Amino acid sequence: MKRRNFIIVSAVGAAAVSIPILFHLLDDIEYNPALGQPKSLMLIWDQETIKSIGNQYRSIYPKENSERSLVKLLKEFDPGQDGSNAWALEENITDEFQNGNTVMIDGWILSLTEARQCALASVVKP
Amino acid sequence: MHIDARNLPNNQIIEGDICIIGAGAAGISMALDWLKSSYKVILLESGGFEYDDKVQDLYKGRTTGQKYFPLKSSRLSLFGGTTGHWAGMCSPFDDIDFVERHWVPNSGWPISRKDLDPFYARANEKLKLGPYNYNLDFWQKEMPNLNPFPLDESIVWHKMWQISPAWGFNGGLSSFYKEDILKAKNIHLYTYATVVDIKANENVTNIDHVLVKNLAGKSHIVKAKHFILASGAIQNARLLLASNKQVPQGLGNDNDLVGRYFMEHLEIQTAELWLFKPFPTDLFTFFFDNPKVWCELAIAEKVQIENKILNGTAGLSPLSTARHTKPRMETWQNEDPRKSVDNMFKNWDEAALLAKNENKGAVSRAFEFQTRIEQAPNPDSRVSIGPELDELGMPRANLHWALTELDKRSIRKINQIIGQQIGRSGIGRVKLKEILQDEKDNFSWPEGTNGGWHHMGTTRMSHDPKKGVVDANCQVHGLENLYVAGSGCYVTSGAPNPTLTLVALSLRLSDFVKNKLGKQQ
Repeated sequence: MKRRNFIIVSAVGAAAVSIPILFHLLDDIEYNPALGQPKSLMLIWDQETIKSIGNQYRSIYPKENSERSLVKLLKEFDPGQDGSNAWALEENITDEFQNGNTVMIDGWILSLTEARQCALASVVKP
Repeated sequence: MHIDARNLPNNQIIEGDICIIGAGAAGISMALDWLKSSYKVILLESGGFEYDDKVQDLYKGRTTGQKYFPLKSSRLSLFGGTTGHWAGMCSPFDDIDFVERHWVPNSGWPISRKDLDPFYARANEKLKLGPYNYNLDFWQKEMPNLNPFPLDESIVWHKMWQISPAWGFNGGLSSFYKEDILKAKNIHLYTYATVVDIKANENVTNIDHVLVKNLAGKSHIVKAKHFILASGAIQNARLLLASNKQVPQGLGNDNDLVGRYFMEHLEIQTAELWLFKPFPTDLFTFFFDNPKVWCELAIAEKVQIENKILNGTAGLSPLSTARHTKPRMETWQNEDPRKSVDNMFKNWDEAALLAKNENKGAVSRAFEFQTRIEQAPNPDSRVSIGPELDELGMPRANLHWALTELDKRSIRKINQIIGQQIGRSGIGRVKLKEILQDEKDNFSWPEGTNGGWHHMGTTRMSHDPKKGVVDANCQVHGLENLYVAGSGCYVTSGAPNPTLTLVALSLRLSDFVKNKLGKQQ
């Protein structure tokens, strides 16, 4: 294997192993970084689009314009350290569409939670 | 039996039991209904069997208001009428389309869907469609791979269309029924017979005759017991308004209603649907080679009521192609319908070519919604006649197409509702186009605001002569033997393409006139 390819493969492997273990730490709050990764939207958008939608969300809802406020709002759907609570996030998104708890950002009709996930993605430093 | 009115000696008097003016979808369907009867039917067609630009030029007119197609090229003047351009799309109106809805001013037909159902079944036969069944589950048994989206059908449901083989690509109704009409002994088809005036008796309670002219300089008179206008919503209104020698406001126009409430279907590219994964279905695919059915996403009646919106549906086109497709209102601006058709298809071909290179990744799972909604009945949206005369001396038609706030609000809400349901289903997400993003903007319309070449209203139906030009049987109020067939009688325009309903309504009128004639005998 070429050295460059090896480094890339190793880095990806390390990240995959680390994600469940490493939690973002925000003063006293810790959360699974998956909270800032809208799983479904990642199937149709790249990271840049997710951040752009997140930026627009934060400009429309300035009270939520911080990592702290967004994490607080999303915390109850945190997938948890082992990701076992991931279903709650998905279920909540479905419920929000069902109940009309949606927002329109740049024309996209999104559940409030997934819009906040984008917002979180846009404030978290890589 | 066919007679070319240009070859008749001048000033002939032609007589029959009924006179049908116009040999398009309504006129041909009605004439077929009288085949082998004991009645002599005079079927008058302005054009011939082939396109004739000089005859077509009689349709030229001015348009104002919302940008519209040239009047000359938005319909066809020849045997078969505008079915020569028809996409063949047929689906019945919904129950709600007939009822009075308090949030839709001037809505409410004097008949119900139930009244029309038996005639829908007959219309299905006339238009060479399959069984009168528009339920998805029925068609799923007939055809493979018609998988619906996993939507809550009590909110957004899958509305089915059937595609008539008598569509424009196959020559329209002309190809299917020309021989039947020509062979029929009791149907007397006169081509190159343009009706330019309707003459009533002295008290203007009965029609005595119509005056027919052609570009060969011939004039003839047609006398009949009953006269049926079947020339399309614009031409019918024009003819009534231009028949103003006995009554200055025009026939049937005592209450200034003729020509008003012109409606179109608003057909606009409104949103994008991005699927998370490929969804295996042919339900939303239009198979150009041999189309049989088509499906659009429709809004349930209770949801329309809750949201106080008009009826509308959304059809899907692959986004990779749709993003290169110009609005039809842009490509269909040539006065010559043949050139407009060519322009439109040329653009479609170009779009398909460009899409080939781009149909990769997530875009390959993305679609564009073309939303089609009924237009709210609006008295200011109207056909009138102007001072300019055509080659036969008849005042030309003018069209002022006017849309309302309800139209815009509805088209946005329909897309929002579908967007929410798609989100709930977990199959993808919907993005509204810029034109629908500002909730406060219920007035502006994009350049790409298309109509469907669907002309409706102008001689609307009502029990009350102060509210409608024709009664529930499509008889012109105050005139014992004058009727209007077709989509001009629509009170509201529903979401589906109008042909199936206009044929059903015409067949209902046909029965009514038959009964009347039977009683007279």
